[in-house]
Amino acid sequence: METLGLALASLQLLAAFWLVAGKRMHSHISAFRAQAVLLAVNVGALGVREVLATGRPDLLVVCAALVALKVVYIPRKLHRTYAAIEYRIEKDFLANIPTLVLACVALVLLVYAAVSGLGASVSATRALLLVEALSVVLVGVFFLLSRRKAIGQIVGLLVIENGLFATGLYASDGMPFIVDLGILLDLLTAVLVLGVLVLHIDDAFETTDTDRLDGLKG
Amino acid sequence: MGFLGYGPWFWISLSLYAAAAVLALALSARPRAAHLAAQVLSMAGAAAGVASSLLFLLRAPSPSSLPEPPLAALVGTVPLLGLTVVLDSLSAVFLLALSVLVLAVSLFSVPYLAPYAGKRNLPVFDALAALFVLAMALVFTAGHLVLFLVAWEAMAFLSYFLVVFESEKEDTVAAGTLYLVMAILGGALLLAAILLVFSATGSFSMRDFDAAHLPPATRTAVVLLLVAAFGVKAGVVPLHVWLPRAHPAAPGNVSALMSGIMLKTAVYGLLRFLLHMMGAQEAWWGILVLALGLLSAVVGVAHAFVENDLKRLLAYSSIENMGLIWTGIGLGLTASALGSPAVAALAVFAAVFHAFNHAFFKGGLFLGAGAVHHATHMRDLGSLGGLVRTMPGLSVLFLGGSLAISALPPFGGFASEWTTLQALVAGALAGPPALSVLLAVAVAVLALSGALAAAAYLKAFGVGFLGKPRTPAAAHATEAPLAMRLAIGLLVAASLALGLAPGVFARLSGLGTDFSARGALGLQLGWDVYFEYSPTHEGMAPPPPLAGLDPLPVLAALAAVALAAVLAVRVIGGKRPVRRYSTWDCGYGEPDARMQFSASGFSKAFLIVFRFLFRPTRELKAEGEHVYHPESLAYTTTHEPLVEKYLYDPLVAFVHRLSDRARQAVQTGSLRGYLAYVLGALVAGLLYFLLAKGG
Repeated sequence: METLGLALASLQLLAAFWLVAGKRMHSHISAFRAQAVLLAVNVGALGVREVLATGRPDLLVVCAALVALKVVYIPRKLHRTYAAIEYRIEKDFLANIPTLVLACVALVLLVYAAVSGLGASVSATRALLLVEALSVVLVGVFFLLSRRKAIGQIVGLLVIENGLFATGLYASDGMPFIVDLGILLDLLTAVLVLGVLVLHIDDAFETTDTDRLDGLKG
Repeated sequence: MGFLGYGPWFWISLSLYAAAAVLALALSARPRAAHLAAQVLSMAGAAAGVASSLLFLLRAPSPSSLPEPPLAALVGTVPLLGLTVVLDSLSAVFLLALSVLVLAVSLFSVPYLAPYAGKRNLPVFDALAALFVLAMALVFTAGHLVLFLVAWEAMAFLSYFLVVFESEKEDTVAAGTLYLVMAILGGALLLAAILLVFSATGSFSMRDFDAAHLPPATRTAVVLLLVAAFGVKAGVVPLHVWLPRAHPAAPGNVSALMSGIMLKTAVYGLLRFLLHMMGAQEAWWGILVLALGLLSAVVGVAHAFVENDLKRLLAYSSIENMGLIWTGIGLGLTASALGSPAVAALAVFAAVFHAFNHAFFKGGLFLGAGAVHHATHMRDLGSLGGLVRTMPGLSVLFLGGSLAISALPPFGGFASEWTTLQALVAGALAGPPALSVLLAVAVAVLALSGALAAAAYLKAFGVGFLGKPRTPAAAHATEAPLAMRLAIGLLVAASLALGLAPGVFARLSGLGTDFSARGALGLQLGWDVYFEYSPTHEGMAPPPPLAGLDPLPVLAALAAVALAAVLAVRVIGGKRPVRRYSTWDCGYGEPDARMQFSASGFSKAFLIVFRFLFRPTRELKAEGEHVYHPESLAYTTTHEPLVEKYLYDPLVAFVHRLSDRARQAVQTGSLRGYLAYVLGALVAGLLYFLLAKGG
């Protein structure tokens, strides 16, 4: 079980690197979807164990919601939004890809060092899980920072959320049921609003490059 | 004595102030009724406050052999917060001053603010004023640092709203803003000091505070912070900039409260913190306070003398008086630290006595200025004149206040300034040589400021009230309403009584025996020996007793001289027939108002002599074609506010530049910049965690 968890967590971090290394919007969305699948499998496995142990189906419900939202609905929504503005191809990233990936490696090392500072208060396995989940959060923020287009930034936000969800899961064996569902619902709203917003930005500026928003400064 | 103790009376007093605020708001649909109700309730609250403080001071006389009489806790603790309200001698003296002043000011406010009813939101003003008084009462009685701080800040903010009552005037709003900024600054300094104390002692209680727990560095920082915080509130030079602007901008009754008693919270704070709580451990604390006091006394009175706006003159004079009080406190702290408790007690007594006196006569003078403004709508001395004929009652009262503040007998101002001088001389005789030199200088500085204060008030009364009216408004002023005259009369009478019987105050306050930092003192301040004292403490060599002077024989002698003069005039001059005719007048005809001393002319010579301080400019503008026969002449003279120009203006400009640059650097408006802050914060958090673990 622990080995499975570790493997899934590592794969999630790998998906985050995939995200950073990707150049096309479609690869970003695929990376996010892959990460969501891994997360859902992880939650599902924990859910099955919990049903067998205590008979409570909470985590299985969360898993179902994860699949429905993050694996199916949100990626489709993103693809559709992107399709609506696809007629231009713009250079999207700040620095070249290897530099970005190296910076992310540095971030992971920092998290590793910080978490190892926790010492013996957490088990070695849990510490590794935390390193991976927290790294996903930081890499997500970094991705947000390194991309110009609004839709890429939405994906960054979603990846950060994945990382936070995983952190909660690993740090406390799953947050309370109601909190999990509430977060997922928030996420749904956010994606809907941001999707509309991207179309509006495109409409107003003829591009989704958020650097152009600087011109709004008073 | 009395059917209730001082405790219940105190709470009755606070409840009445609160009730005044509530009732004013409840009746706000009918502003006149609300105004009257609020002022009557405030007066009742003040009367209860007088009863409470007097009952406390008159309770079984505490034998002077007790080093620290037990402090009476009125109420235990409010369960969750542990806030205590405590009355002791020091609190009671200030509470008494507050209550008497509020009694007079509330009476004065009834007719003074009546013209505003319906035009402005008078009920809200009345409610805020009542709460302001309530906050000050709590400042004086707080036994807990948090309560003290809350009451202190409430006092500052409420008074800001009172200052900007006439908010349609730009000057008023600007003055209010400056006041608010300085008040927040002072509050922040106080907060820093309190938090430092808390971090060292782990307690917010003011009563079981032990300065021994403070490490020396912390103690130094706390003392500096406290002196600065109270310096802002007291308007001590160079922290005084708000005072000469806020006081004139505020309505007359508010100025009276602010100058009369709000400034005294700084005196109370200094005594409470540095002397009572921290025990005046090092001599330099007192020297610092003393030096600030002397600087304030001279700068304040010099500005008062050259000022032509009546209320600004009074405001600058408040700076001078706070300087005198700080001088006394400074000497008290130094003498206490050097182990000369007799001198310390005399100095602290002098300071508190002067604060007490100043509350009354400056309150009365500000009310007088308010009454003049009420009648003429003018504050400029250059437009007044001749009020002694149109407002005789008010003029007599204003003269009384002027005599008191000029430290002339038989008013209280004389008694307290004389005691301050006595303390300085005693300190100079007893102290180490270096201190003696400083104190000798202080005596000279005080003498100088006393003379200038007399000149300033000679100008205020001579130009404003005597002579011929300079404008029609001054010529047609009507006598102030009876309630106003009664209110001012009460304060002037209190000042007179304090001058005639200073020993009663000394005995009543029990000061010098009661709360002095270091134990029992042999200070005896009685009815007839109030200029003498007989130290019994063997610390430093006690100074020889100074010559005594009893005010009553002096007064009798003065009266006899006056009577003799009148009789002499009657007897000698009465025999000759009086012929009334006009003398040769160089062809001028009737002397008119333009021939008298103008307000600026009165102090012009002083302005020129002290031009290094004032940097005066003058301009003579002639209108008309002919050089020698211009149609009109306009003479204007200005002087530079030195402290503002060389200290505050550069400081303000620097802060502006810095914050502008910081804003441009931080608020880039770039989305990616803001995202970078998020990443930076996360990375910094991890690094901090890492380093904190490692370290």
